[in-house]
Amino acid sequence: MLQVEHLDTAYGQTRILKGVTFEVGAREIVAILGRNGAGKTTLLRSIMGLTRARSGGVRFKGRDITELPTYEIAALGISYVPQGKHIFPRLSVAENLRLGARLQRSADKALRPEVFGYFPVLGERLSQHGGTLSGGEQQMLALARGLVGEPDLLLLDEPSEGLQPSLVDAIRGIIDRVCQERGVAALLVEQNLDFARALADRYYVMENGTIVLHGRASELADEEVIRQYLAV
Amino acid sequence: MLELGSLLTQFLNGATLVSVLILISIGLAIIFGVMGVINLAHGEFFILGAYTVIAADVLRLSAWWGIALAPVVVGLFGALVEVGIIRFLYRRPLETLLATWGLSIVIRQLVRIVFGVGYRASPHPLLGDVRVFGFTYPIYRVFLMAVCVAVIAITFYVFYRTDFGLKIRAITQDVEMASALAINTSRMYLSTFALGSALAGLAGALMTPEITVSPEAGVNFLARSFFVVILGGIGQLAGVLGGGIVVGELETLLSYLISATTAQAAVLVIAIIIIRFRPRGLFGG
Repeated sequence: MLQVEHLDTAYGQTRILKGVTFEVGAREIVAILGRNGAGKTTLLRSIMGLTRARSGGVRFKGRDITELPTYEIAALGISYVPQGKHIFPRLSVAENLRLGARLQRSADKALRPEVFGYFPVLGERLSQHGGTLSGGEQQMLALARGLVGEPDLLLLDEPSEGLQPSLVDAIRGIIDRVCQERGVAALLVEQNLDFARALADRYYVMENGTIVLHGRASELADEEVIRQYLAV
Repeated sequence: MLELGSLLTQFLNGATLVSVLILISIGLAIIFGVMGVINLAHGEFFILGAYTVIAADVLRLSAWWGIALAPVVVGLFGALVEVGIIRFLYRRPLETLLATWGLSIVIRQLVRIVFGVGYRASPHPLLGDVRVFGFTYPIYRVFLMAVCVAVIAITFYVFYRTDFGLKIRAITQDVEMASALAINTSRMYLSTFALGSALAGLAGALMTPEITVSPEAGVNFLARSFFVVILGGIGQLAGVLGGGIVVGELETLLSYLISATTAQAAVLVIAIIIIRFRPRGLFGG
Protein backbone atom coordinates (compact mmCIF):
# COMPACT_ATOMS: atom_id res chain seq x y z
CA MET A 1 0.00 0.00 0.00
CA LEU A 2 2.61 2.55 1.13
CA GLN A 3 6.33 2.28 0.43
CA VAL A 4 8.77 4.84 1.76
CA GLU A 5 12.26 4.52 0.29
CA HIS A 6 15.43 6.26 1.47
CA LEU A 7 13.46 9.36 2.38
CA ASP A 8 15.56 12.41 3.19
CA THR A 9 13.94 15.60 4.46
CA ALA A 10 15.57 18.75 5.78
CA TYR A 11 14.46 22.07 7.24
CA GLY A 12 17.02 24.44 5.79
CA GLN A 13 20.41 23.01 6.67
CA THR A 14 19.10 20.64 9.32
CA ARG A 15 18.51 17.11 8.11
CA ILE A 16 15.51 15.65 9.87
CA LEU A 17 14.97 12.38 8.00
CA LYS A 18 18.06 10.46 6.96
CA GLY A 19 17.20 7.69 4.54
CA VAL A 20 14.01 6.35 6.09
CA THR A 21 12.76 3.13 4.49
CA PHE A 22 9.67 1.17 5.52
CA GLU A 23 6.33 0.02 4.26
CA VAL A 24 2.71 -0.39 5.26
CA GLY A 25 0.74 -3.26 3.74
CA ALA A 26 -2.96 -3.31 2.90
CA ARG A 27 -5.19 -3.44 6.02
CA GLU A 28 -2.10 -3.26 8.20
CA ILE A 29 -1.57 -1.01 11.22
CA VAL A 30 2.04 0.05 11.57
CA ALA A 31 3.39 2.04 14.48
CA ILE A 32 6.33 4.44 14.34
CA LEU A 33 7.80 4.83 17.80
CA GLY A 34 10.41 7.22 19.01
CA ARG A 35 11.20 10.16 21.23
CA ASN A 36 10.33 13.77 20.63
CA GLY A 37 12.49 15.11 17.82
CA ALA A 38 13.17 11.72 16.28
CA GLY A 39 11.49 12.90 13.07
CA LYS A 40 8.16 11.07 13.35
CA THR A 41 5.96 14.06 12.60
CA THR A 42 8.24 15.16 9.77
CA LEU A 43 7.89 11.67 8.34
CA LEU A 44 4.10 11.98 8.17
CA ARG A 45 4.34 15.52 6.79
CA SER A 46 6.74 14.30 4.10
CA ILE A 47 4.33 11.55 3.07
CA MET A 48 1.55 14.17 2.77
CA GLY A 49 3.81 16.49 0.78
CA LEU A 50 3.50 19.22 3.43
CA THR A 51 7.26 19.09 3.89
CA ARG A 52 9.14 18.32 0.70
CA ALA A 53 11.54 15.39 0.55
CA ARG A 54 15.07 16.26 -0.49
CA SER A 55 15.68 12.80 -1.91
CA GLY A 56 14.18 9.34 -1.81
CA GLY A 57 10.58 8.61 -2.58
CA VAL A 58 7.10 7.68 -1.43
CA ARG A 59 4.88 5.27 -3.35
CA PHE A 60 1.20 4.79 -2.63
CA LYS A 61 -0.81 2.01 -4.30
CA GLY A 62 2.09 1.62 -6.72
CA ARG A 63 2.17 5.27 -7.71
CA ASP A 64 5.06 7.66 -7.04
CA ILE A 65 3.54 10.47 -4.95
CA THR A 66 6.78 12.14 -3.82
CA GLU A 67 6.32 15.24 -5.98
CA LEU A 68 2.52 15.46 -5.95
CA PRO A 69 0.86 18.46 -4.33
CA THR A 70 -0.76 17.73 -0.98
CA TYR A 71 -4.34 18.02 -2.21
CA GLU A 72 -3.74 15.33 -4.85
CA ILE A 73 -2.11 13.01 -2.32
CA ALA A 74 -5.15 13.42 -0.09
CA ALA A 75 -7.48 12.76 -3.02
CA LEU A 76 -5.70 9.45 -3.71
CA GLY A 77 -6.95 8.14 -0.38
CA ILE A 78 -4.50 9.15 2.33
CA SER A 79 -6.06 10.84 5.32
CA TYR A 80 -3.87 12.84 7.69
CA VAL A 81 -4.89 13.38 11.31
CA PRO A 82 -2.14 15.65 12.58
CA GLN A 83 -0.84 16.11 16.09
CA GLY A 84 -2.72 18.77 18.02
CA LYS A 85 -5.92 17.87 16.14
CA HIS A 86 -5.99 20.82 13.74
CA ILE A 87 -9.73 20.90 13.52
CA PHE A 88 -11.13 24.14 12.14
CA PRO A 89 -12.06 26.01 15.33
CA ARG A 90 -14.49 28.49 13.75
CA LEU A 91 -16.29 25.95 11.59
CA SER A 92 -19.13 23.92 13.03
CA VAL A 93 -18.69 20.22 13.73
CA ALA A 94 -20.92 19.49 10.73
CA GLU A 95 -18.80 21.73 8.49
CA ASN A 96 -15.58 20.13 9.68
CA LEU A 97 -17.03 16.73 8.79
CA ARG A 98 -18.37 17.93 5.46
CA LEU A 99 -14.86 18.95 4.45
CA GLY A 100 -13.74 15.38 5.12
CA ALA A 101 -16.77 13.89 3.36
CA ARG A 102 -15.82 15.66 0.12
CA LEU A 103 -13.19 12.94 -0.33
CA GLN A 104 -15.66 10.07 -0.65
CA ARG A 105 -15.26 8.33 -3.94
CA SER A 106 -18.97 7.82 -4.42
CA ALA A 107 -20.70 10.55 -6.40
CA ASP A 108 -22.83 11.65 -3.49
CA LYS A 109 -20.67 13.54 -1.01
CA ALA A 110 -23.25 13.58 1.74
CA LEU A 111 -22.22 12.91 5.28
CA ARG A 112 -23.32 9.38 6.13
CA PRO A 113 -24.85 8.75 9.54
CA GLU A 114 -22.64 5.67 10.13
CA VAL A 115 -19.86 7.92 11.33
CA PHE A 116 -21.91 8.79 14.40
CA GLY A 117 -21.99 5.10 15.24
CA TYR A 118 -18.30 5.46 15.99
CA PHE A 119 -18.54 8.98 17.40
CA PRO A 120 -21.96 9.38 19.02
CA VAL A 121 -20.91 12.53 20.90
CA LEU A 122 -20.31 14.40 17.62
CA GLY A 123 -23.86 13.74 16.48
CA GLU A 124 -25.08 15.79 19.44
CA ARG A 125 -22.75 18.70 18.72
CA LEU A 126 -23.22 19.22 14.98
CA SER A 127 -23.92 22.94 15.05
CA GLN A 128 -21.32 23.75 17.70
CA HIS A 129 -18.04 25.40 16.63
CA GLY A 130 -15.10 22.99 16.61
CA GLY A 131 -13.13 25.26 18.92
CA THR A 132 -15.73 24.98 21.67
CA LEU A 133 -15.36 21.19 22.01
CA SER A 134 -13.35 19.61 24.81
CA GLY A 135 -9.91 18.22 24.00
CA GLY A 136 -11.20 14.68 23.76
CA GLU A 137 -14.12 15.69 21.56
CA GLN A 138 -11.75 17.63 19.30
CA GLN A 139 -9.65 14.50 18.91
CA MET A 140 -12.82 12.54 18.06
CA LEU A 141 -13.72 15.21 15.50
CA ALA A 142 -10.25 15.13 13.93
CA LEU A 143 -10.46 11.33 13.65
CA ALA A 144 -14.01 11.41 12.32
CA ARG A 145 -13.10 14.04 9.76
CA GLY A 146 -10.23 11.84 8.65
CA LEU A 147 -12.51 8.82 8.34
CA VAL A 148 -15.61 10.15 6.60
CA GLY A 149 -13.68 10.52 3.35
CA GLU A 150 -13.27 6.71 3.27
CA PRO A 151 -9.48 6.72 3.00
CA ASP A 152 -7.38 3.63 2.28
CA LEU A 153 -4.62 4.80 4.60
CA LEU A 154 -4.82 6.80 7.80
CA LEU A 155 -1.83 8.78 9.03
CA LEU A 156 -2.30 9.29 12.76
CA ASP A 157 0.06 11.58 14.66
CA GLU A 158 -0.10 10.81 18.39
CA PRO A 159 -3.86 10.42 18.68
CA SER A 160 -3.58 9.63 22.40
CA GLU A 161 -1.54 12.71 23.27
CA GLY A 162 -2.84 14.79 26.14
CA LEU A 163 -6.00 12.76 26.68
CA GLN A 164 -7.17 11.33 29.98
CA PRO A 165 -6.83 7.52 30.26
CA SER A 166 -10.50 6.70 29.68
CA LEU A 167 -10.46 8.72 26.46
CA VAL A 168 -7.23 7.10 25.35
CA ASP A 169 -8.97 3.74 25.61
CA ALA A 170 -12.02 5.04 23.75
CA ILE A 171 -9.90 6.43 20.90
CA ARG A 172 -7.94 3.20 20.70
CA GLY A 173 -11.16 1.21 20.50
CA ILE A 174 -12.50 3.40 17.70
CA ILE A 175 -9.31 3.20 15.63
CA ASP A 176 -9.28 -0.56 16.10
CA ARG A 177 -12.93 -0.95 15.07
CA VAL A 178 -12.65 1.35 12.07
CA CYS A 179 -9.57 -0.36 10.71
CA GLN A 180 -11.12 -3.81 11.21
CA GLU A 181 -14.56 -3.03 9.86
CA ARG A 182 -13.54 -0.80 6.97
CA GLY A 183 -10.28 -2.49 6.05
CA VAL A 184 -8.34 0.76 6.44
CA ALA A 185 -4.56 0.64 6.80
CA ALA A 186 -2.97 2.97 9.32
CA LEU A 187 0.41 4.48 10.02
CA LEU A 188 0.43 5.44 13.66
CA VAL A 189 3.05 7.69 15.20
CA GLU A 190 3.17 7.23 18.96
CA GLN A 191 5.17 7.77 22.10
CA ASN A 192 2.71 5.76 24.15
CA LEU A 193 4.10 2.25 23.90
CA ASP A 194 1.03 0.50 25.32
CA PHE A 195 -1.30 2.32 22.95
CA ALA A 196 0.84 1.34 19.96
CA ARG A 197 1.20 -2.24 21.09
CA ALA A 198 -2.55 -2.68 21.48
CA LEU A 199 -3.26 -1.45 17.95
CA ALA A 200 -0.33 -2.18 15.68
CA ASP A 201 0.61 -5.26 13.69
CA ARG A 202 4.21 -4.14 13.24
CA TYR A 203 6.40 -1.38 14.59
CA TYR A 204 9.43 0.68 13.62
CA VAL A 205 11.53 2.65 16.08
CA MET A 206 13.01 5.95 14.90
CA GLU A 207 15.95 7.78 16.37
CA ASN A 208 17.64 10.86 14.97
CA GLY A 209 15.85 10.56 11.67
CA THR A 210 16.58 6.93 10.93
CA ILE A 211 14.88 3.66 11.68
CA VAL A 212 16.91 1.76 14.23
CA LEU A 213 14.67 -1.18 15.05
CA HIS A 214 11.60 -2.93 13.72
CA GLY A 215 9.54 -6.02 14.32
CA ARG A 216 6.15 -7.44 15.09
CA ALA A 217 4.10 -5.57 17.65
CA SER A 218 3.44 -8.79 19.57
CA GLU A 219 7.16 -8.91 20.34
CA LEU A 220 7.12 -5.39 21.74
CA ALA A 221 6.39 -6.61 25.26
CA ASP A 222 9.64 -8.47 25.67
CA GLU A 223 11.90 -5.85 24.18
CA GLU A 224 13.75 -4.04 26.93
CA VAL A 225 15.64 -2.37 24.10
CA ILE A 226 12.58 -0.46 23.03
CA ARG A 227 12.09 1.05 26.48
CA GLN A 228 15.66 2.19 26.14
CA TYR A 229 14.93 3.96 22.83
CA LEU A 230 11.76 5.51 24.13
CA ALA A 231 13.00 6.50 27.58
CA VAL A 232 13.35 10.24 27.86
CA MET B 1 -30.22 73.83 11.66
CA LEU B 2 -30.77 70.42 10.19
CA GLU B 3 -34.19 69.96 8.77
CA LEU B 4 -35.79 66.59 8.22
CA GLY B 5 -35.50 66.56 4.41
CA SER B 6 -31.81 67.31 4.24
CA LEU B 7 -31.15 64.97 7.15
CA LEU B 8 -32.82 62.15 5.23
CA THR B 9 -30.87 63.10 2.11
CA GLN B 10 -27.64 63.05 4.10
CA PHE B 11 -28.55 59.70 5.54
CA LEU B 12 -29.23 58.28 2.08
CA ASN B 13 -26.00 59.78 0.73
CA GLY B 14 -24.26 58.06 3.60
CA ALA B 15 -26.00 54.81 2.77
CA THR B 16 -24.79 55.08 -0.82
CA LEU B 17 -21.21 55.53 0.31
CA VAL B 18 -21.62 52.77 2.90
CA SER B 19 -22.85 50.23 0.36
CA VAL B 20 -20.03 50.98 -2.08
CA LEU B 21 -17.39 50.97 0.67
CA ILE B 22 -18.63 47.59 1.86
CA LEU B 23 -18.49 46.21 -1.67
CA ILE B 24 -14.87 47.32 -2.08
CA SER B 25 -13.84 46.33 1.43
CA ILE B 26 -15.29 42.82 1.23
CA GLY B 27 -12.91 42.05 -1.64
CA LEU B 28 -9.99 43.48 0.31
CA ALA B 29 -10.97 41.54 3.43
CA ILE B 30 -11.50 38.21 1.69
CA ILE B 31 -8.19 38.43 -0.16
CA PHE B 32 -6.41 39.28 3.07
CA GLY B 33 -8.22 36.64 5.09
CA VAL B 34 -7.66 33.80 2.67
CA MET B 35 -4.27 34.63 1.18
CA GLY B 36 -2.70 36.92 3.74
CA VAL B 37 -2.16 39.38 0.89
CA ILE B 38 -2.65 43.08 1.53
CA ASN B 39 -3.56 44.27 -1.92
CA LEU B 40 -2.39 47.87 -2.28
CA ALA B 41 -3.63 47.86 -5.89
CA HIS B 42 -7.22 47.30 -4.76
CA GLY B 43 -8.02 51.00 -5.33
CA GLU B 44 -6.71 50.69 -8.87
CA PHE B 45 -8.94 47.65 -9.46
CA PHE B 46 -11.75 49.98 -8.42
CA ILE B 47 -10.84 52.64 -11.02
CA LEU B 48 -10.31 49.96 -13.67
CA GLY B 49 -14.00 49.21 -13.15
CA ALA B 50 -14.81 52.89 -13.69
CA TYR B 51 -12.67 53.03 -16.82
CA THR B 52 -14.40 49.92 -18.15
CA VAL B 53 -17.60 51.98 -18.23
CA ILE B 54 -15.75 54.77 -20.02
CA ALA B 55 -14.19 52.32 -22.48
CA ALA B 56 -17.63 50.86 -23.17
CA ASP B 57 -18.83 54.39 -23.87
CA VAL B 58 -15.94 54.95 -26.29
CA LEU B 59 -16.98 51.73 -28.04
CA ARG B 60 -20.53 53.14 -28.20
CA LEU B 61 -21.88 50.59 -25.76
CA SER B 62 -24.28 51.86 -23.12
CA ALA B 63 -23.18 52.47 -19.55
CA TRP B 64 -25.21 49.41 -18.55
CA TRP B 65 -22.90 47.28 -20.64
CA GLY B 66 -19.96 48.93 -18.94
CA ILE B 67 -21.35 48.15 -15.50
CA ALA B 68 -22.08 44.55 -16.46
CA LEU B 69 -18.68 44.01 -18.06
CA ALA B 70 -16.61 45.69 -15.33
CA PRO B 71 -16.59 42.81 -12.82
CA VAL B 72 -15.73 40.36 -15.62
CA VAL B 73 -12.91 42.50 -17.02
CA VAL B 74 -11.45 43.40 -13.63
CA GLY B 75 -11.94 39.84 -12.32
CA LEU B 76 -9.98 38.44 -15.26
CA PHE B 77 -7.34 41.11 -14.76
CA GLY B 78 -7.14 40.09 -11.10
CA ALA B 79 -6.71 36.46 -12.13
CA LEU B 80 -3.81 37.47 -14.40
CA VAL B 81 -2.21 39.43 -11.57
CA GLU B 82 -2.54 36.41 -9.25
CA VAL B 83 -0.95 34.03 -11.74
CA GLY B 84 1.69 36.51 -12.90
CA ILE B 85 2.77 38.13 -9.63
CA ILE B 86 1.04 37.16 -6.37
CA ARG B 87 1.55 33.41 -6.86
CA PHE B 88 5.32 33.81 -6.56
CA LEU B 89 5.05 35.70 -3.29
CA TYR B 90 2.79 33.48 -1.13
CA ARG B 91 3.57 33.84 2.57
CA ARG B 92 5.95 36.75 1.93
CA PRO B 93 3.84 39.66 3.14
CA LEU B 94 6.43 42.39 2.74
CA GLU B 95 7.15 41.44 -0.85
CA THR B 96 3.43 41.29 -1.75
CA LEU B 97 2.99 44.71 -0.20
CA LEU B 98 5.75 46.12 -2.39
CA ALA B 99 4.62 44.22 -5.47
CA THR B 100 0.98 45.34 -5.24
CA TRP B 101 2.10 48.91 -4.52
CA GLY B 102 4.26 48.77 -7.64
CA LEU B 103 1.36 47.29 -9.55
CA SER B 104 -0.86 50.19 -8.48
CA ILE B 105 1.64 52.65 -9.96
CA VAL B 106 1.83 50.65 -13.19
CA ILE B 107 -1.97 50.53 -13.51
CA ARG B 108 -2.32 54.27 -12.86
CA GLN B 109 0.32 55.02 -15.49
CA LEU B 110 -1.28 52.64 -18.02
CA VAL B 111 -4.62 54.33 -17.45
CA ARG B 112 -3.00 57.73 -18.05
CA ILE B 113 -1.46 56.44 -21.28
CA VAL B 114 -4.67 54.88 -22.58
CA PHE B 115 -7.30 57.33 -21.33
CA GLY B 116 -5.25 60.46 -20.82
CA VAL B 117 -4.28 62.47 -17.76
CA GLY B 118 -6.95 64.18 -15.72
CA TYR B 119 -10.70 63.80 -15.35
CA ARG B 120 -12.86 61.89 -17.74
CA ALA B 121 -16.47 62.71 -18.35
CA SER B 122 -18.53 59.62 -17.88
CA PRO B 123 -21.91 58.64 -19.25
CA HIS B 124 -24.84 58.67 -16.87
CA PRO B 125 -26.98 55.60 -17.25
CA LEU B 126 -30.01 56.67 -15.27
CA LEU B 127 -31.03 60.26 -14.68
CA GLY B 128 -34.08 61.29 -12.74
CA ASP B 129 -35.44 61.23 -9.21
CA VAL B 130 -37.63 59.09 -7.09
CA ARG B 131 -39.78 60.27 -4.24
CA VAL B 132 -38.77 58.89 -0.84
CA PHE B 133 -41.14 59.77 2.01
CA GLY B 134 -42.14 62.88 0.17
CA PHE B 135 -38.59 63.96 -0.64
CA THR B 136 -36.84 63.50 -3.96
CA TYR B 137 -33.69 61.45 -4.33
CA PRO B 138 -31.66 60.52 -7.46
CA ILE B 139 -32.97 57.24 -8.82
CA TYR B 140 -29.49 56.10 -9.85
CA ARG B 141 -28.32 56.11 -6.24
CA VAL B 142 -31.24 53.95 -5.26
CA PHE B 143 -30.29 51.55 -8.04
CA LEU B 144 -26.65 51.64 -6.91
CA MET B 145 -27.57 50.77 -3.34
CA ALA B 146 -29.87 47.98 -4.48
CA VAL B 147 -27.12 46.38 -6.58
CA CYS B 148 -24.59 46.69 -3.76
CA VAL B 149 -26.97 45.16 -1.22
CA ALA B 150 -27.80 42.31 -3.60
CA VAL B 151 -24.14 41.56 -4.41
CA ILE B 152 -23.13 41.79 -0.76
CA ALA B 153 -25.95 39.39 0.15
CA ILE B 154 -24.83 36.96 -2.57
CA THR B 155 -21.24 37.19 -1.32
CA PHE B 156 -22.38 36.34 2.21
CA TYR B 157 -24.45 33.45 0.88
CA VAL B 158 -21.48 32.07 -1.07
CA PHE B 159 -19.23 32.50 1.92
CA TYR B 160 -21.44 30.83 4.52
CA ARG B 161 -23.71 28.49 2.58
CA THR B 162 -21.78 26.98 -0.34
CA ASP B 163 -19.06 24.40 -0.73
CA PHE B 164 -16.80 27.07 -2.25
CA GLY B 165 -17.33 29.29 0.81
CA LEU B 166 -16.68 26.40 3.17
CA LYS B 167 -13.35 25.76 1.46
CA ILE B 168 -12.47 29.46 1.65
CA ARG B 169 -13.23 29.55 5.39
CA ALA B 170 -11.23 26.37 5.95
CA ILE B 171 -8.20 27.85 4.18
CA THR B 172 -8.50 31.03 6.23
CA GLN B 173 -8.27 29.03 9.45
CA ASP B 174 -5.69 26.36 8.63
CA VAL B 175 -4.23 26.25 5.15
CA GLU B 176 -2.16 23.08 5.64
CA MET B 177 -5.08 21.11 7.00
CA ALA B 178 -7.23 22.41 4.15
CA SER B 179 -4.79 21.05 1.58
CA ALA B 180 -4.56 17.77 3.51
CA LEU B 181 -8.32 17.55 2.99
CA ALA B 182 -7.76 17.69 -0.76
CA ILE B 183 -8.55 21.37 -1.23
CA ASN B 184 -6.54 22.74 -4.13
CA THR B 185 -5.33 25.82 -2.33
CA SER B 186 -3.61 27.53 -5.24
CA ARG B 187 -6.78 27.27 -7.32
CA MET B 188 -8.75 28.68 -4.40
CA TYR B 189 -6.28 31.57 -4.12
CA LEU B 190 -6.79 32.29 -7.80
CA SER B 191 -10.59 32.33 -7.53
CA THR B 192 -10.48 34.38 -4.33
CA PHE B 193 -8.24 37.02 -5.83
CA ALA B 194 -10.32 37.15 -9.00
CA LEU B 195 -13.52 37.41 -6.96
CA GLY B 196 -12.13 40.20 -4.75
CA SER B 197 -10.93 42.09 -7.82
CA ALA B 198 -14.29 41.67 -9.55
CA LEU B 199 -16.11 43.16 -6.54
CA ALA B 200 -13.77 46.19 -6.58
CA GLY B 201 -14.29 46.52 -10.34
CA LEU B 202 -18.07 46.41 -9.96
CA ALA B 203 -17.91 49.05 -7.22
CA GLY B 204 -15.83 51.29 -9.48
CA ALA B 205 -18.21 50.86 -12.39
CA LEU B 206 -21.24 51.65 -10.24
CA MET B 207 -19.56 54.77 -8.86
CA THR B 208 -18.57 56.15 -12.29
CA PRO B 209 -21.43 58.70 -12.47
CA GLU B 210 -20.95 59.68 -8.82
CA ILE B 211 -17.23 60.49 -8.75
CA THR B 212 -14.81 62.43 -10.87
CA VAL B 213 -13.07 59.61 -12.71
CA SER B 214 -9.34 60.12 -12.81
CA PRO B 215 -6.34 57.78 -12.66
CA GLU B 216 -5.80 58.86 -9.04
CA ALA B 217 -9.36 58.29 -7.83
CA GLY B 218 -8.59 54.84 -6.44
CA VAL B 219 -6.22 55.89 -3.69
CA ASN B 220 -8.94 57.61 -1.73
CA PHE B 221 -11.12 54.51 -1.78
CA LEU B 222 -8.23 52.20 -0.89
CA ALA B 223 -7.49 54.22 2.24
CA ARG B 224 -11.15 54.23 3.34
CA SER B 225 -11.51 50.49 2.63
CA PHE B 226 -8.53 49.78 4.83
CA PHE B 227 -10.17 51.66 7.66
CA VAL B 228 -13.41 49.81 7.07
CA VAL B 229 -11.65 46.45 7.30
CA ILE B 230 -9.48 47.32 10.29
CA LEU B 231 -12.29 49.08 12.13
CA GLY B 232 -14.67 46.19 11.56
CA GLY B 233 -12.15 43.66 12.77
CA ILE B 234 -10.06 41.42 10.55
CA GLY B 235 -11.23 37.87 10.10
CA GLN B 236 -14.97 38.06 9.73
CA LEU B 237 -17.13 39.29 6.95
CA ALA B 238 -19.72 40.78 9.32
CA GLY B 239 -17.05 43.17 10.61
CA VAL B 240 -16.83 44.71 7.15
CA LEU B 241 -20.52 45.59 7.34
CA GLY B 242 -20.10 47.34 10.69
CA GLY B 243 -16.91 49.10 9.63
CA GLY B 244 -18.52 50.25 6.39
CA ILE B 245 -21.54 51.68 8.17
CA VAL B 246 -19.42 53.61 10.68
CA VAL B 247 -16.95 55.03 8.14
CA GLY B 248 -19.51 55.80 5.43
CA GLU B 249 -22.22 57.42 7.55
CA LEU B 250 -19.79 59.31 9.75
CA GLU B 251 -18.00 60.78 6.76
CA THR B 252 -21.22 61.82 5.03
CA LEU B 253 -22.76 63.38 8.12
CA LEU B 254 -19.55 65.20 9.02
CA SER B 255 -19.09 66.54 5.49
CA TYR B 256 -22.54 68.12 5.84
CA LEU B 257 -21.18 70.15 8.75
CA ILE B 258 -17.56 70.71 7.73
CA SER B 259 -15.66 70.51 4.43
CA ALA B 260 -15.47 67.10 2.73
CA THR B 261 -11.69 66.78 3.08
CA THR B 262 -11.76 67.74 6.74
CA ALA B 263 -14.59 65.26 7.25
CA GLN B 264 -12.52 62.47 5.72
CA ALA B 265 -9.57 63.33 7.90
CA ALA B 266 -11.85 63.49 10.95
CA VAL B 267 -13.23 60.02 10.20
CA LEU B 268 -9.72 58.61 9.99
CA VAL B 269 -8.83 60.22 13.32
CA ILE B 270 -11.98 58.82 14.93
CA ALA B 271 -11.20 55.39 13.46
CA ILE B 272 -7.67 55.51 14.89
CA ILE B 273 -9.07 56.45 18.31
CA ILE B 274 -11.56 53.57 18.19
CA ILE B 275 -8.83 51.12 17.18
CA ARG B 276 -6.68 52.42 20.02
CA PHE B 277 -9.35 51.21 22.45
CA ARG B 278 -10.54 48.18 20.48
CA PRO B 279 -7.39 46.90 18.75
CA ARG B 280 -9.20 43.91 17.28
CA GLY B 281 -11.83 46.12 15.71
CA LEU B 282 -15.40 46.93 16.65
CA PHE B 283 -16.55 43.41 15.97
CA GLY B 284 -13.32 41.48 16.58
CA GLY B 285 -13.51 38.85 19.31
